[in-house]
Amino acid sequence: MAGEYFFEYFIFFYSTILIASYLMLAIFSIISIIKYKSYNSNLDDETLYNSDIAPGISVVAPAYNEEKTIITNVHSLLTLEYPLFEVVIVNDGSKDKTLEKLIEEFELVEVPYAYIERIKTKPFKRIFKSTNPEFDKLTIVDKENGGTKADASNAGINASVFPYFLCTDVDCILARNTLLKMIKPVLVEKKKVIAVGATLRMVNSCEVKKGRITRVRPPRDLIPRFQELEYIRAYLLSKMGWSLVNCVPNVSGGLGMFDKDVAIRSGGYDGRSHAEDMDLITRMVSYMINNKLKYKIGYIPLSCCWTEGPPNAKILSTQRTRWAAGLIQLFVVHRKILFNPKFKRMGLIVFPYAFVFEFLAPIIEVCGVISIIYLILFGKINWDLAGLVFLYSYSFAVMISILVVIWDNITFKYYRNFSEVLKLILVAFLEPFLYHPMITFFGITGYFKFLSSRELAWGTMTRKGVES
Amino acid sequence: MEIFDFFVNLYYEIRTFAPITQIVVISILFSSSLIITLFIYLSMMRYYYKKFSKHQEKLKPQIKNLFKEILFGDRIYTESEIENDYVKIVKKLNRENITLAIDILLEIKFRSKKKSDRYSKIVDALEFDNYLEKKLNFSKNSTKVKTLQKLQLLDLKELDAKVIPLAYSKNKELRREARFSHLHLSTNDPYRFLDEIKGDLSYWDEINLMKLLKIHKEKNQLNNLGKWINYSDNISLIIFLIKAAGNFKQEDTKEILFNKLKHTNYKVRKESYKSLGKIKAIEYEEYLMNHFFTEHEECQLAIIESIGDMNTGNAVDFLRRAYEDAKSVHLKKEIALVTYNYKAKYNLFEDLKSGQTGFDKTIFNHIETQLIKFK
Repeated sequence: MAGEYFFEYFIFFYSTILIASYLMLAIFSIISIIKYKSYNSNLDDETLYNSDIAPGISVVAPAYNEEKTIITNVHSLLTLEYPLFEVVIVNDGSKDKTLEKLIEEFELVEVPYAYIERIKTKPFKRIFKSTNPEFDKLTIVDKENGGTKADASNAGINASVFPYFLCTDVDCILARNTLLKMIKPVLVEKKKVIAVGATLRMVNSCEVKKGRITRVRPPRDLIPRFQELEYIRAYLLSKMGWSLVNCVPNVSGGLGMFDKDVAIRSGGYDGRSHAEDMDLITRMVSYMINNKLKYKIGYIPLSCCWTEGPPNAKILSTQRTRWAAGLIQLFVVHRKILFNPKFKRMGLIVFPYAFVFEFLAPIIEVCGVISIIYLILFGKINWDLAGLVFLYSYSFAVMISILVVIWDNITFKYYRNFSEVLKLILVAFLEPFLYHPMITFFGITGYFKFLSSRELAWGTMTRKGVES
Repeated sequence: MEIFDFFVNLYYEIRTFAPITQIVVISILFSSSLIITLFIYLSMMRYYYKKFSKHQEKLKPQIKNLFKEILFGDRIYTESEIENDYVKIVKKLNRENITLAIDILLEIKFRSKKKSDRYSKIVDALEFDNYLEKKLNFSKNSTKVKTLQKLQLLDLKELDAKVIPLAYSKNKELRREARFSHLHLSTNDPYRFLDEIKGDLSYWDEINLMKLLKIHKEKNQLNNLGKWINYSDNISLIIFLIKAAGNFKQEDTKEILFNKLKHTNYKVRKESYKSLGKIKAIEYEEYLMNHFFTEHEECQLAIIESIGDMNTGNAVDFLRRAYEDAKSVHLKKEIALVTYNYKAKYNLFEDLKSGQTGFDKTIFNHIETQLIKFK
């Protein structure tokens, strides 16, 4: 009996602390958003765009079998607004016609290039540049397939020339002012800003013309729409909130700007990691702390990147199983950081929070389900109390999701109509029943696969391609 | 009264529950009521947004056409005509409509390829200065910052006196923007706050300062920056001003820059080397060459860049020795780049290239490949 009560009380306190932390993040997040909106405007973009001394940025995007979308997306990257930037596309040994299409469209020729392998990667083959001056910002790196996005990104970093690099996926569509917006936190801070993140959304039902988003809509299909809400919550509430106290746990692999020198000194992306983005940030922060250097990880609330979300449960399971494996791998590889005061905020806030509320959450939820089944089977369940506890977490989850939708609307009104906002709110009510159990299951599967050392499918996702 | 009784009964019923159940029930009530409140708030927010954007979408093209006609048309409008025509479109000259007018005017000013000297006519006719002055006096700090940016863009010099008190604000963003505005708007003593900059400049400060100094330069009103380079005790400011002196090719600062080559901070020396090159202070070329081999690597790169900028044709032997001595790829690349563009009778680039093998040869091939824009 004591054991049963212990678990019930444990669950209650665990969820109460989680709820409290979400409320705290909601407050942190709105403070950060208001602060950002107060002291940043489009007038700053004009100043930066016309500056002769703006720091250069290399946009690095790995491509593997992307023949469907590569041309439109590279054109889109080349139209970014910034005074000094280059676009480095890494063809990671594609088996389709990705490279051939690039060569034809951008009039590429092979050039001698002083490629310095500052980060070890699979063999680099050659570099292409365009003979058309219109595309003089474009560099194509051709290399042997490394099997991971990390390896390809590292080759792109090696070939890049500017002090900051923006890492993205070649299938992502970036807002034209992405570079202007994302470099700003680096410029205004006197401390070294080692990375900057921004919000990602789903491109699934958006209107896209010539590689540019012309109309933002919530995804029509339910699974991508769940992800839209999940992404907004993760970026706008969690990461934006943590940025107030310089505890951003992760800058997404889909869109992140990094200080190249620190990234290289930290060893670049780890090709063996299943969560290479969080791993890189962890190592960059460790590097700064080990060398007693002050640092900051910046975050902006704007949605700058649109990516195609997994359209069905099967593809979602591949993605989330890998993420979960990445999380457990991170705690295994960087275990010395957890609860270690030497690593300051990283060791005492970022890692413990991720461990208790992200890594342990699926395990505790599964234990909870098993416990309920046991209580039902033995007729020991108190249905009234169980219903109340369910309502307790359900009402809070819905409330937080609506709060995040409001934060999103305060930041910028991406959806034109209120009916589109309502579609997002609708999934907030359905998420705990349909989406969350799936994510928990995929999480547990990921842990199991990692612990049983089973091979995980890398981030190759079957894409429909964006209607253009 | 029934609702009141309901809540009283609910309160007493909740009090009979176990403590944890009480917390759970209260939390459910809290979350549920917040869901309803947030939903109403969101609906209202979207409703007003739609109303506001519809209103603006209707007015914007008409205002744009009117302003373009005033700015670029053949007819010269009087101030009262401008005001009357504007009021005809917007119905009422209130705060919202003046903000709209300012935004549209700035959009035309910075996006239009045509130039006009009639911007001030619209500014005066719609009394933007009165409106912005009120904003500077009676709004929150973030609004004041944005107002100051607009003052700069509209070039409202008459409001400079209103800016000075803000330059001492406790809010650092406001203080910074006010000082930038003063540098832009003041006609008497624009550089007043250069002496008062404390602590390191951020990159954003540098970008803004450079922009403002460029405006002064374009108007031939840029002071000799040597005074501040010489006497400031703020290293970060000194480095920036050395960079600016080089960018604006202030030849009068040569000697001061040369003296800074003896500074203990290598970043000061590095920027001084670069600026001497940009100014083409060829009389110091020999000094630069003599100090190359004992300098910090970043200063070595700056010296090579500077020798390249001077392009006297006298540094062939030095560049050869520097290349042979160079250990880092960056330095080798920089020397190769300088030799490629170097105007001397002797083709050092080809000579050096012919002696290279492997990666070092690739560096030379890289440098001479015209298709590579960023070397």
